[in-house]
Parts: sequence; structure tokens; C-alpha cells
Amino acid sequence: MPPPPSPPVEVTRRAVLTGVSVVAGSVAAGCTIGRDPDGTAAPKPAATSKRAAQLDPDVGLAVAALAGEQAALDAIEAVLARHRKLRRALSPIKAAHRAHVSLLAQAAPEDYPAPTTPSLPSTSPDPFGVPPRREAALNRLSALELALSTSAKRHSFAAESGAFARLLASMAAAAAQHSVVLVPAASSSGSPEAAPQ
Amino acid sequence: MTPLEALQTTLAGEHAALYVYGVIGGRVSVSAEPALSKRIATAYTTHRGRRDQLTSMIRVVDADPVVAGVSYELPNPVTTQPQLERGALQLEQRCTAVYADMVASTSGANRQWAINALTDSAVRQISFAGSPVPFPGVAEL
Repeated sequence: MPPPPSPPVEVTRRAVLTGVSVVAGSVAAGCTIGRDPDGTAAPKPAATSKRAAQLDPDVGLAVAALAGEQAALDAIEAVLARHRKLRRALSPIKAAHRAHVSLLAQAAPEDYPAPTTPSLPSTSPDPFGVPPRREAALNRLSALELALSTSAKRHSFAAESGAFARLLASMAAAAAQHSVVLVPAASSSGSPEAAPQ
Repeated sequence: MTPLEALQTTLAGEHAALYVYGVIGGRVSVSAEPALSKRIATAYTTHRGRRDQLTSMIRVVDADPVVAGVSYELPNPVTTQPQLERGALQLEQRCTAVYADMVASTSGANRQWAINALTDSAVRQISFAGSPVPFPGVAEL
């Protein structure tokens, strides 16, 4: 069980980014997350930090969360490559994952080995075996978003930094919203029978 | 914010949510808008359950749960059906922010509770004609 988190500072963009930058900064400094609630320690370049990263569980969470968000982005790109008519429907969802990726990338050191998910080139026509039917493709994305939400919840639960936990929980909520909006889009754009996966 | 303060703040939010849902639910026409009426009733029941859970979570640590206010400010005009639905959406958006703050200030089972409430509230926004946002409950992003 994580120790009681440090009190969050006033809720501002800076505070949220502190959640990330404390993670990133602690990578370089080798210090413990969450001991610096006012965020005065500026994040330093994280390149030196494999050893420190091992000391800091939140960095591992950031790396795992980043991999999940990137995988979702890749899956959306793959679906769009096959189903161009979904561009309008998927555009806000894609933008959300982009925002998540760019924020998490600040906390994940570049030299930290990515865990499970292979990065897929977005130009690859069909890396996921995108279903040829649009509604089936949306159903698959919906399931992926639900899984992403579940893992983000776990990451949030485990985070030592309260500000970082808040950020991860918000990303979990965003993925849950996506999984819901993708389903009616699927049922309204095609045949009534749901595509079995 | 201490973990206890976070619990009390969230409980105060639930008191407000119940008041506002009570008013909105009383104004939604069951015959003209049965679906919206049902969603409001479900939301009310959910928040009432959360209020009771928070009350007991606070009692567990030997503190006195904050009591409800006499009345609360309603979201902007809530008279027509679209306004009522919009009011419910705004209410859930506020709740989402409160839950997100509770995530930051708690750990263990209480944080898990806040994470689940945050996700549920964000999804409920969709049922009130809301759109997905990149960072639910985190207004500054």
C-alpha cells in the first residue's frame, strides 16, 4: 500500500505538471517522489537515470502508462488507415491520446526500456488486423479503451505522488469515456448485429 | 489537503449534488422526457450511495462528517429540458473535479473509491449529452 501522499499544492496547471515534473525530476535527482510538494526542484534532464528510475516506482508507472497510451494512438491510426470515414469521429479521441502521450513523455526518461507493447509505425496499413467492417473496428477500439482505462486506474492507485495519481486517474476516466462513445457510433453506423470479437 | 479534509470536501460535494439533482429531478417531466428522468433518478441514487459511503469512511477515522447546507446554488437557468440536462452535465463535471482532487489527497482504499467515482462520473457526463474531454476533472489541462 502506498504511503499517505504529500498534500497537493494548489490546483493549477503547474500543480499537475508538478506531478509529472516531480516524477521526471526525481529520475535525475534519485530522490523519492512526493517529498517536494511545492515543486521547487526543477526537472533535470533524465538521461542519467536508469539507476534512479529503479529507485522510483512512479517513473515505472509513467513508462507503462505511456506505452498504453501510445498503443491506443497506434491502434487508432491503424483503424483510420483502413476506415477513412471515421476520421471525424475519431479525431477528438486521437487528440486526447496525443495529449496524454506528450504529458507522460515528460515523466518517462527516453532511455528507459519500454515494457511490453511494441511501437507500431502509423504508416503500416494494417498492423492490428483491423476488421474490414467499420463497426467491428470501433468495437475493437472500444474494448481497447476499456482495457486502457483499467490499467490506468491501477497505475493511479499505485502512484506515490498524489498529483501524478490525479493525472493518471483522469486519463483512466478519459479512456472510459472513449470506450462508451465508440459503441453507439458503431451501432448507428452499420447493421444492428454486433460484430463478435 | 489532508486525507480527512479530502473526504469531507467530497462529502460536501455529494450534499450539493443531491440537492441539485433533487431540484432538477423535480423539474424534469417524467411523461415528456422519460429517458432523461430515469437518468436523473439513477444519478441521484448513485450520489446518495456515495454520500452514505463517505459518511461511514469519515466515521471510521473518528471524525464528524460535514452536514448538508440548507440550500445550494443551482447551475444557470434550469427550466427547459435542455437546460435541465445541461445542469446535470455541469453538476457531474464539478463532481469529477472533486473526485480528482480526492485521488490526489488519499491513498489505499479511499483513493480507489475516488478513482472509481471519477471514472463513473466522467462516463455519466456522456449520458447527459457531454463529450469526451482529454483530462476529465482536471480543469487546468
